[in-house]
Amino acid sequence: MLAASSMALVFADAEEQFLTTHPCVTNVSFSYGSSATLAAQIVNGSPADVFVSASERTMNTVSDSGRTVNTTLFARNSGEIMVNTASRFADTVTSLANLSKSSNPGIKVGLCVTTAPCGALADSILEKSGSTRRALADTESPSVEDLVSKIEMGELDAGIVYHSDCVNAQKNKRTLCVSIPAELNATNSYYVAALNTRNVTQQFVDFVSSPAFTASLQSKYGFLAP
Amino acid sequence: MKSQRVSPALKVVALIAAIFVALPLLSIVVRVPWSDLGNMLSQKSTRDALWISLQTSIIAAVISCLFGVPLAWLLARSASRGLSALRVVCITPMVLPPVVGGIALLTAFGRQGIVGQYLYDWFNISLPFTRTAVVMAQVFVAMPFLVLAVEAAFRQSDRGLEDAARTMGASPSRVFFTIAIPAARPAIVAGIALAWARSLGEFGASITFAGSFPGRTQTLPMAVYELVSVDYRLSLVLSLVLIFISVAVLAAMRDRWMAGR
Amino acid sequence: MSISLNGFVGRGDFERSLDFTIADGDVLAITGPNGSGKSTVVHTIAGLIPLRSGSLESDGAMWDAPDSQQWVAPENRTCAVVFQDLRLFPHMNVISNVAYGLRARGVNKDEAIERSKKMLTRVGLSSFDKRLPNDLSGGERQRVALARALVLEPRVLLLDEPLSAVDSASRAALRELLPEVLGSFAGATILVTHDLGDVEAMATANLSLN
Repeated sequence: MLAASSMALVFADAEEQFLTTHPCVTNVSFSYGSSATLAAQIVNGSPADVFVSASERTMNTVSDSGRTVNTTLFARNSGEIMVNTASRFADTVTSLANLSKSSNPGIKVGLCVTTAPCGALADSILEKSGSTRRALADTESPSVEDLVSKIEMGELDAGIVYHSDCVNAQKNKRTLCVSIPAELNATNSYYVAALNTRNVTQQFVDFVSSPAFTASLQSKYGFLAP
Repeated sequence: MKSQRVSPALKVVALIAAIFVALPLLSIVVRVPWSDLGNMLSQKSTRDALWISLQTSIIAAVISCLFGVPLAWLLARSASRGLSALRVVCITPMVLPPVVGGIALLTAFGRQGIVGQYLYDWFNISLPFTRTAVVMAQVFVAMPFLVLAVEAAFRQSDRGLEDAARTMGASPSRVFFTIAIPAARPAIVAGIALAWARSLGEFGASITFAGSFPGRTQTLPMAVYELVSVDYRLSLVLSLVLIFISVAVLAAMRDRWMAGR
Repeated sequence: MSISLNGFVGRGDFERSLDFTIADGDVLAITGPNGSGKSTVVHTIAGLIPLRSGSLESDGAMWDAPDSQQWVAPENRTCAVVFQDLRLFPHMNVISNVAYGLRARGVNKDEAIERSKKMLTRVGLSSFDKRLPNDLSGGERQRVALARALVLEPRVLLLDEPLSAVDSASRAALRELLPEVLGSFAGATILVTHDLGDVEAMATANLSLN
């Protein structure tokens, strides 16, 4: 299974549940990364059974190449500002405007690359708030995983990540979340696709799109309803 | 040089090896969209990445030379046993996976780093994600190549000449500059070329320590990496540029690329 | 100026005890079969090889005394060497070779070149300035090496087998040049040679390492 990195934590927990409820499946292997990178891998022939993407565009890349059997929308995510608690700017970042260098000189901010779903999300948010990537960001991460870890490590002071990532990382007390007002925020869509007609493939897709699973995504991990 | 007779079996094996290496490189040359080449090369993102790559790699090569040649001299001339340990340490970045090098640089010079934290707390200097960091990552991985090549040359050089110079009144540093360096010039030039080529191709350490931002820290290899899943044709063009530069450097050095020959 | 060497020179097979003193105007020939350590004496006096024990003194100044840890570096000793293998710097032309020591000792460029040209004329190589060592014959190279040492006006001149690297044709000419040069040299000379003819022609004393 190839999945967007924002789903890494979710599936790590869900693996056991899936294996228990589906005893004829002995093993599920997961590979995480930026949806764009994974989509390219599948198009180039990667032998995956299931693809979970964080945007419609990256899913279209795969379905346009004919690799998908069916696709289902199962969750959404919105953006949030993640700040490192030990950063000297921790108290001064209360809104998107505070991420700029004019507001906080010396602040180091990260975004996902434009081609990744979390980057496209950030671009929508920036556009709505009248800012630009160039003015704000010091570095671009290929995946949201990478961005989150850089903020947690303290190499970056803040960044725009998914609400789900922020909520989960908060537990470690090394980061805090600053919400983005609804009128400036954007959402992205998560799709699950079966890449072949194997029985187990469809079982997994059904598992992911089941109401129980999608409900747990919202209650436990901070995702939004599809 | 007269060629010797080589057995046919050996020829076949050698040919397979050569084809295995040459084919992927030639494939890029074949698949590059030649008609769009000019267009793509003049795109802002391409020009930015090329400029950053050239600027940082040349600076890194110069720094590698300025600091690497004295280091090579120390390693070649000093008899102390602690120095063989130092040599191993200085050469390690050559065999280390570049991303590990990047993590090491972050651990030392990042904002929470062993040295970096003082740079940040006392002087407000934050090294990661700057162009300086790109140069640092490149020097880290490339300098060992220069040190290795030049040290070998210094080891093989004629100490008799250095002795003669000293009897004529030259201080050790004068001997270094007027006798040792001219004698090692071919190796120094080869070392700079290798260090430059390695800097140009650096990816893992640089992206970990300096991050990637177009126009600021995104080098040509990073641009290729990002483009592979997005604009494959452009990634081919940038790959061609890198291949071209590498081949040009190696061709210019021909068979002098091994130190001491 | 005098040089006084009293101690063990060299290592292992070469180790031997020597005791001699030479003064201005002396030409001490050091003779002995090949491998008897004659060159080692030259290298020791020049400061390239340390004494094992004993002392090497020059005009009251202690150049090398291992027991009392005294040591003067080669570049600070007032001797000049003509090595058996000549050791001309291959990447410099003749005039730069000859002027090297003067420049190293702080003489300005013009004066160094001036003095070097005069010395080259004295050894019979007046128009050889821009030539490269590799383009010269054995005899010509020998003269450059000699000029390079003499131009420094050293107090001690050390000549290690000066005629060995020379073809027989040039040897005759050098055989005439050398005594003339040594005759007008003000300091002390140590001449290492295995040729007794040289000893007769030029030496004022003989030390045999047998």
